[in-house]
Amino acid sequence: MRHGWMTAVAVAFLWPAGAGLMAQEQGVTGSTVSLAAGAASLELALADGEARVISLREGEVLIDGEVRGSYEPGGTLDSSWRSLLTSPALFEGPGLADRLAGWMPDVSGDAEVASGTALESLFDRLAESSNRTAAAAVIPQSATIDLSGGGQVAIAPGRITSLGELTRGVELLSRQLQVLGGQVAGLEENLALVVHDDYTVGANQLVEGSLALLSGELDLEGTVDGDVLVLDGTLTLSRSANVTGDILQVGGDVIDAGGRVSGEMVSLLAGELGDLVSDFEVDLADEIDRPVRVNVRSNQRGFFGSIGHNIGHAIGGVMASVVWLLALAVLGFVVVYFFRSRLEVAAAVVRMDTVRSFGVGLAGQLLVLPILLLLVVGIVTWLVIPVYALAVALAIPAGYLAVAHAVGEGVQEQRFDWMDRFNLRRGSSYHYVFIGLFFLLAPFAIASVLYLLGGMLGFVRGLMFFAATVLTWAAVTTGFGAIIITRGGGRKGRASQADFDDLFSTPDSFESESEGEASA
Amino acid sequence: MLRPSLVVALMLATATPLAAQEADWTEVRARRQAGDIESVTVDVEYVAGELRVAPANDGLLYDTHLKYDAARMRPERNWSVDGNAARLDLSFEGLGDDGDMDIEFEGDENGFLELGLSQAVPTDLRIRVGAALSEVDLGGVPLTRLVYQTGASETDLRFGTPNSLRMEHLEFAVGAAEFSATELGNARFDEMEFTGGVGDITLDFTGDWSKDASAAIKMGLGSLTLVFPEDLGVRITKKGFLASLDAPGFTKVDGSWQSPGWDSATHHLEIQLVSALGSIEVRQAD
Repeated sequence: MRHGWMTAVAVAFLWPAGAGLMAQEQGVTGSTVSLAAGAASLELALADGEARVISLREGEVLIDGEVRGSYEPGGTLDSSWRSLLTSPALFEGPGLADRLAGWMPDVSGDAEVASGTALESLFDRLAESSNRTAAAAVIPQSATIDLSGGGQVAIAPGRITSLGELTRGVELLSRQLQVLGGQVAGLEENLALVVHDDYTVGANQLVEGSLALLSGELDLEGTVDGDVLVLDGTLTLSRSANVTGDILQVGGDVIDAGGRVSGEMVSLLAGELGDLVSDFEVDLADEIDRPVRVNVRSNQRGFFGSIGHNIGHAIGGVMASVVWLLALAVLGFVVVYFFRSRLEVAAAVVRMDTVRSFGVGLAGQLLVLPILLLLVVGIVTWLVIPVYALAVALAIPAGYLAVAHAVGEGVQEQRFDWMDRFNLRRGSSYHYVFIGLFFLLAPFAIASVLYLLGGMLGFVRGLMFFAATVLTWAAVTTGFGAIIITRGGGRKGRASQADFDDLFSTPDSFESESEGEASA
Repeated sequence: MLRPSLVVALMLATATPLAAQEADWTEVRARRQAGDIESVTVDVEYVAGELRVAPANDGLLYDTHLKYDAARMRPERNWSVDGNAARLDLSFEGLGDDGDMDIEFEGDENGFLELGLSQAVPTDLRIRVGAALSEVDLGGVPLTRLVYQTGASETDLRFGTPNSLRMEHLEFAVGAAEFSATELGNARFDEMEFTGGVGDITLDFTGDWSKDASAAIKMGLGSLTLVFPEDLGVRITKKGFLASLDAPGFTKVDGSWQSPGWDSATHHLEIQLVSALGSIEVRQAD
């Protein structure tokens, strides 16, 4: 059914026909023109409900089906009759019966003279009847363009001046409707009138269905009870115009001079309408809440995408550093609470014997797997393997915390004025661990913040991330070594007891300051 | 007007070889007459590009002018009418897998959405914006409610002329963005709610005040500038930590900061301000 009307138009090309117009007047309330290869007919609807059908068909002149004369197909009378029926002026405005009565048929031969006389006589009677009943006639508020003629789509204007142009226009319409697909299904199925040249739908006229404008200037003063599709040409909506549906403009112009459009006016200004979804026939209510995600491709996201991308990276990186800081701080506080002395011993070894700790840690990392394999191969008891794995697993974070403790101690011993200003100088292992972790993780946060500067500092950012990673590995390695050296903080390393005593005592500078304050 | 940094970024983007699918730019205008509609709810979700909102021509209920890459997204409009109340939903569906939308900017050709709103029909407006450059002028649009949400974007929103209706609720939710809302006094709101994440925020409360109002402002990180007309009585109650408040001329009364003309002002604005970290500058319009 989708292209059913197109088939009808094609038939109209094969047998030139399918044109018609309506006019409203006293007496005559409507008209239908049908043109075919062997026939040309005019049907007049009268005010009393009756109809007159005048046809020139296959050499016979028929009035209401009765033979009233004859003519030569393709001859003088045939041409004159067809010219009359395809003249737009005949159907414009009221007075159709009078204009028919004024028609002077061209004839040749006695037979056609008699036929022409019969037609003139008929039209004179119609005009007289129309004028007689004019005063009593009820003028409809609107008239109907009813050119469907058994479901066919009407072509306007009835005057077909260029069959080739009309053919091209209809082909264009066909292609566009295929492109538009289901979005204009309602328009397509309800199509009543195709306009291909200058034409006017009068203020008191009604198009019962949708309308398509192929080309020309269409002045819409009346009503279209459906949608309007503008493929080319100019559609002018007068103040009296009324479109009950939508207007879809794929080409041409739409001039709104104040007409009323109940639906939406959609204009495709560039590109293919393709997937444009409007509310012609598609209800997308179910899809409205469907979440839309934006994936911005690396290096191709442009400025807007880069802003969000960079800010997101920066915030994400800083937040990750903060989360790691808090998690490790919690772990560190637990270790300080339960194993304070062991942590302090390991931290002291880190500080006093840093190089050796790193070396032992590096060797330990290299030997972790071989030792594990040795245990598996030369197994003494299966219990050793999980104990070994657990010991290694605990040694790594414990060593990292020992390094953090050592770093924290080192920072506290520095004369940073800002630490005094914010009252951050503390002497407990809890503070040492927290401050040490802060400094160990700070490079990651700083590198993340560099994302805010976009690609300009990409190299510096990468270098900072690399340095932070190396620093972390060095800290883990050194701490691991310190844990090995001190047997988990259970014994002091090679450093002397005096060194440890110095480490655990209050620094001289602090003591002297304290003494100075006390003396003051 | 594009800023120099934006121009540079677009030039860099142009220089980047693009191996992705070629853009299919499509431009569509859709508009509808107001007709018998007495109120309308407009819900717009715009992902990326340039967004411009302004009053529509007389007689139109809405007027949308849209340019988009049809190879990557598809606009969705839904229109419904219940009596004399209408609703318009406008959003985009990504054409990638699972509705994903891969957005690229080639050269200086970007998508845009121009949205015109009725100057006569009371409108309940909700706009959600992703990464976009937004210019929103709602002066002349009779708004009963406005919710504006934006992610990483640059927004310039203003009420050029007074709202002809009383706005029950005005809400801004801003992510990481540069956001400026000016002449908020013309919005004629009863209550305003602002939630900001990270960015540079300016809230300008100048305009034609016709009644008292209240505002709740929650700011995360960044810089917040509040501008008030001299004849408006303003009282700010601030909560938060690590956020500095610079309010020259304001005096502290019962824990709140009060503008110089509070007692003599015809209309008053009470602000509850919560800020986590950043700077807050308060100043009076020239």
